[in-house]
Amino acid sequence: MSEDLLHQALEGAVEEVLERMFFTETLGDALELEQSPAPPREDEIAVRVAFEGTPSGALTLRLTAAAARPIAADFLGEDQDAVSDGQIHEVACELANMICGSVLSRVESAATFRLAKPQIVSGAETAEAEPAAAIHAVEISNGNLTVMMTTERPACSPPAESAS
Amino acid sequence: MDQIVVGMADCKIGDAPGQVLATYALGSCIGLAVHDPKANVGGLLHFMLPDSGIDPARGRDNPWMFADTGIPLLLNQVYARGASKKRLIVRAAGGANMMELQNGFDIGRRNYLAMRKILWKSGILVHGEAVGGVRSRTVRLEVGSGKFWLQEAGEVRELFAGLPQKGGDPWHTVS
Amino acid sequence: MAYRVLIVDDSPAMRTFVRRVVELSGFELSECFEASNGEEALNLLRAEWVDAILTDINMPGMDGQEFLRRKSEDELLRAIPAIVISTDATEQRIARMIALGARGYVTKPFVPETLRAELERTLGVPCE
Repeated sequence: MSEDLLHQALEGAVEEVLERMFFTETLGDALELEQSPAPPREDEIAVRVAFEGTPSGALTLRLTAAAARPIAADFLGEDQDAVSDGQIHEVACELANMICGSVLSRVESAATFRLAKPQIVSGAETAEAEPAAAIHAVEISNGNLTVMMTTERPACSPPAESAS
Repeated sequence: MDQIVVGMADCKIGDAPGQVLATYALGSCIGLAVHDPKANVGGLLHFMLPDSGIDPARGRDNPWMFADTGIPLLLNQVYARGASKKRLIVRAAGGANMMELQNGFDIGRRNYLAMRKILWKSGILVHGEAVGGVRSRTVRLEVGSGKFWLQEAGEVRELFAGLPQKGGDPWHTVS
Repeated sequence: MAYRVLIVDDSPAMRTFVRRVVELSGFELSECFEASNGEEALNLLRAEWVDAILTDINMPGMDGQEFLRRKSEDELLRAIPAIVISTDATEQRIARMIALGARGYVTKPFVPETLRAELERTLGVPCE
């Protein structure tokens, strides 16, 4: 039940963040994925955002590199050939940060979270794939975007605790 | 009053005080109006699709059909008539979901996203919009005064610059 | 009038985005300072006057909440209007930041027009 809510929050956050600030639409329905997908591929950029709160955990974002360049260029208001690899990574980090914050605000409206600085991660660093509490993957122009959320305990407090 | 009709996949520029640019039946299409109150130049574009990449030849033949070809051309044409980017007041209407299906092929939403991206990259923010929903709209831009009139569900109202107006559809919030 | 603005955010991409929104909102910038956390921001403000501050909350080192708290305790700095820009949309956080003196709060993700509206509300509509 709580995993369903987390997944819904992930879906909603991805769509809202992509459309509202990154001018990117999701194409078609969500992609079907294994519960714990393989480490990031060569043609992917991966970002991890750890967070502390109730619960603590981490969000990992994976983005096809070919899709990351136009997203970065659009966000910064630049031409695609004018953005550097460093800028693309910075924008990917901000994208992950925003999705993470948006998900947490949706599932725990009464709690306070502290997000760590987003980190670019390589395949080696994600070799031990943590079982994800929720995964959501979408197709976007020029590639895919996948977000995985892991938490130390099931997210989403029981209804009795929520304070609106 | 000299009413100039803007058809579908069409655009008109006005620079005389008595002119009114009008476009009808904005369903999933978007009517994008720009106006410079000092130069008294205005333009109204009625585009239908987000991306000319699906038919580049068509995009060359009729750039007004697509957001990515039509919007930059609209802007260049008003600038050529003396409008200044910094003074431009921009309003948009349309982008409705005219099909019964909620998911999948929502052209209106895609048109709106494409418009927002192109305007952002062109260095322009929007001053008023009435987008989303499920109803068709008609809009008029008075070149002399810069007033932008919106007709929707049988009612006519003015869309003021600076005041956000919701389109009424849950997927879209005008912030 | 040309404005002096301070943008406080540990994300360089976000600082670029916010700066662009401020400029496109019609506010001419004579200076746009940047800081990557609250401590850097306070150090800068000891040397430079600004007309407005736009600050994130989650930053390594001194975060936005602590930054606003220290700013509110300073006789000179407390007068500078600050707008918070954050992914944190929780009621507690918003209330806390307003109580610490934030004049505006914009939740990420936001459309640029939202930040413009907040800037106009906080600073007034930019003069021609």
